[in-house]
Amino acid sequence: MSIASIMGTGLSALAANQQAMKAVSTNVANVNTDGYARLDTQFITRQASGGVSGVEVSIQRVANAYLAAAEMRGASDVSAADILSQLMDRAQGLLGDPSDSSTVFGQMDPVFSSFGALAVDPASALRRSTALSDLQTFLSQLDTTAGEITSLRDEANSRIVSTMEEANSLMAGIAKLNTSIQRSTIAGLQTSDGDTEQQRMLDRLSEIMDIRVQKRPLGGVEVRTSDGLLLVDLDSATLGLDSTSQGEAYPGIVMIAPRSTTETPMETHIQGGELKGLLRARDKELVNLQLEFGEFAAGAADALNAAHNQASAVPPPAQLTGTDTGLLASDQLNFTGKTNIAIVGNDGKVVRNFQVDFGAGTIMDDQLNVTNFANSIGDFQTALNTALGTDGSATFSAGSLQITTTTPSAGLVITDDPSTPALRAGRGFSATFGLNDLVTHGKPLNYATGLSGTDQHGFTAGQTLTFALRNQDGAIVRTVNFTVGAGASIASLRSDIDAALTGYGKTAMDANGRLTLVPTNNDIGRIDVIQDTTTRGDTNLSMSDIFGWGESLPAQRANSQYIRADIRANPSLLGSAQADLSGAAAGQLVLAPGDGRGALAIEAAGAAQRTFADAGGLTGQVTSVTDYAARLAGHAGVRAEALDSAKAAAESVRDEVKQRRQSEEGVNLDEELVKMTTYQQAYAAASRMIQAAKDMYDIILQMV
Amino acid sequence: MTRISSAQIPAASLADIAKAQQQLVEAARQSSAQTKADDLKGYGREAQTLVSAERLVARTNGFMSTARELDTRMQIQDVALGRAADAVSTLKEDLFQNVGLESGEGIRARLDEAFSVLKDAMNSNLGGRYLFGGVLNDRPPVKAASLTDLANNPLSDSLEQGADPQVMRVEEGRTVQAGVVADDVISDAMASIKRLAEFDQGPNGPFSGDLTATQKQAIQDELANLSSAFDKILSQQAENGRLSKEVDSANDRQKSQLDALNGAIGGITNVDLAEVAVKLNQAQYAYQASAGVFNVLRNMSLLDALK
Repeated sequence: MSIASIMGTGLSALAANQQAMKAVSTNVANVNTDGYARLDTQFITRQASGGVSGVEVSIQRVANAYLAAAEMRGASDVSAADILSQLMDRAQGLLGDPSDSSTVFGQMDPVFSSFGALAVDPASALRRSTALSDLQTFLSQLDTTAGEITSLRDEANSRIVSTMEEANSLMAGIAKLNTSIQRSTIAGLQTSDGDTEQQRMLDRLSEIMDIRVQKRPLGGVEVRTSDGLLLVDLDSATLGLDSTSQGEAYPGIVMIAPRSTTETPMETHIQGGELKGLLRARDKELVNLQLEFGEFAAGAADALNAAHNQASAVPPPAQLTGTDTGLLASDQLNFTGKTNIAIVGNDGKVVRNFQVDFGAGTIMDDQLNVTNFANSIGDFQTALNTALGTDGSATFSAGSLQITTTTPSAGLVITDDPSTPALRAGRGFSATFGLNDLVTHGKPLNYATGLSGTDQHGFTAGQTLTFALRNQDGAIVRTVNFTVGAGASIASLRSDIDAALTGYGKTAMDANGRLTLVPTNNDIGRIDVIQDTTTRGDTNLSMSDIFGWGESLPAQRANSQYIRADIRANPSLLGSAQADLSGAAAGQLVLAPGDGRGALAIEAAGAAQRTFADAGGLTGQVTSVTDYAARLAGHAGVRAEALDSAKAAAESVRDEVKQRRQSEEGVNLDEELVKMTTYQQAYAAASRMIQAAKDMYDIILQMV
Repeated sequence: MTRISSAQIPAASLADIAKAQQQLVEAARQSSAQTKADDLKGYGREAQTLVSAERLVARTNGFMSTARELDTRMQIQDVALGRAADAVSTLKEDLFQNVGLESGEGIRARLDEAFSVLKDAMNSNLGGRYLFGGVLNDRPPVKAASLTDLANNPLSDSLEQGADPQVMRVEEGRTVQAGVVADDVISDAMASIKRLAEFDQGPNGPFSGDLTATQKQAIQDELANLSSAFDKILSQQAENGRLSKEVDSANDRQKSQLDALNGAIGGITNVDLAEVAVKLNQAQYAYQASAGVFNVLRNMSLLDALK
């Protein structure tokens, strides 16, 4: 043993304690760094050929991979719940304070009340204008609210893009660090700085999407989605929007795997994180709200139209023009009951009165002349045209029925028989054809078509339509291209569609001719239509327009509703009276300016029971518009509250894991200060050792 | 060994302080706005009841406003019907006197006056709408310009025919007539007046000087008719009163329904101020306690001992 070895041992202690002090100082510096795993110093005795000689130091990150993984899982759950709850909170906020009258539901009240007030003085221009202005305010509010919900979806979509960009940069960063960590490991260098930075990136990436992290043998990590798709090794994957679009409102998200150029659809692989929350908001929760809101708006307009179609202006208009119903002349009439179509003079007295008996297939005028018609819309129109003779005409083209009278100083009035009203799919004669609608939309608001399986479908063979099968979270899992086949009937169209959707869904048709697409597979939440080039006969409506398929059309019913242009321009066309046409003879007074029963019927429309179809999260039901509004509001409130609770639950799980991880990995200042003092003292002792060895050398040298 | 990282200590305190602050802000909001929440989420399951009740309140207010208008209108109608009854009653008494005195003097003038009063009463209008016109309220229900007009033309030309009474809704699912129609009120009275005027203009007329036996008989015949015409006006006035009462009682029911609804809404939206005061206090204490804990933790460090 030599004095030199004592000096060597002392020197190793100096170096070891210096390194230990460096670790302490790094820890102290990072005491408040989020996600920092402290450095732990291990002193190891140095083995030399002659036995123990000096000390070595090893500095390790105190990282608990299991707790880190648990926290990452928790973080992705929290992020998903948080973002979803934020967006849905804002969505329910758009529906306003329920105790305030300025909300969209509150705006509906004055509409009905002002029609009630109009009944007090139906001829009053002021009251007419007030009723129309209240209605316009309500329709504008519907449009604005629907627009704001759509904006929220747009926002979710743009946040998806920016979040993906962030994820891409994090994945690239992690891959780059993998390379440098691998290089350091091979060179036998410390990698703790790189590990720390990489962990920070992983923590953030786990907030964006659910990931699984695995240590690589040569250092660094391999990152996969929780269902195993490789995201990062030495290279990184790139997330982006699907470069091919088939007409969906918002593109899906895809991944180009490391070292690949192929796009893999990703939506079904992402199960957590901000991306999941944003996708669920964009493709499911907000869509549900849009659909519910669309059904409410359509219900309100349909209820108003149903009442207005039974009412008449005083004096009545000479021409009644229906909307594009999507119906064809060859379609079966499918009406039951009776209706009266009358030519009424400007003095309110009947000129001619035609009673249409759909059961008997007859049109009988007040002179008891009978015209027969068969069970088709075209046949009925021809018969009506014949019955009107020189007093008027009836045409039917492009899905629209038009009745005109040529009698001077007279107009047309239609009312269904009070005891056996004409009905097709739950709607009266005038309402079915929209001959005297109050609110227009341009496309059907009510999807009860009244068609039956034996009707001709009217689409041209070869026309195409693309179905998108969406899963329970709203992500498109498959698209199905459908081409209209050779079969002519609706029944054959249905069986063709059923065949195309085999294994995923089928069509269903109710007694009112509402043709719906029903998923038959538990993994399919909704069957959307993303492209539709069909047109029914000479109408301007597609299959989706008529049956209300897909997500966009039913939701858009809340947008662009207007008061019928001629009524808006001339409020005297507002139907405030109601003619008692049943059995009325020529010369009988049926319309009077002081008759407010038409306005009363519109007032009652708010409380009238009607059928609402399944929409979003609300199941179909028979209820009034006002009750449906309340149910929609309640549903939105409860949904937002539930999402808030889900977020709180996810947070408490994440917080618990985070606490544990921080307890284990985080820096305790007191602990570091104690260590600092210990290393300081050890350093001083080692330097004293060297001093002693030097003294020993001096003694020996003096001896020489 | 159970260890804790130093960063956790202030972070935990901060979380407690933030939570206490949030409670304070919510309690303060409730205390100033006096409502439990300001959005659908805040009311959760009760949102549906609340929205539904608010709609009912709005509808009820609409009905009540119609009822108020109707009430005013019926009071005016009552006065007009009273004037019409008075006119017929006065005419009847005057004619009775004439018969008693066997004098035909002034009969034409009395008929003229009765016609004018009846016409004026039945042609009463409110804001340009004729109260007794029924659904034909845009034109005067009594069309005859003068007594001569009445005498010279069929009665159906003098009184507007075929108009139904107006109907209005005063409560959910219930409509009432807004009053009575002139033709139903004064057709009998006008018919009597018309017959007397025709007599006056006819071969046995005019009424002047001493009444002839034929003239006396004609007046006596009409006195009986005028009595039943008077009764008819009274019964129409009573009908107007009954309708007015119906409106009143509907209005009362609406009022009590409104009170009940407002009570139900208040039960959902209004905060219990005592409860809020307690919450506010608790939130304050919680805040102070959290801040106090932070103050203690702040001073706990080995650094001081190492000086």
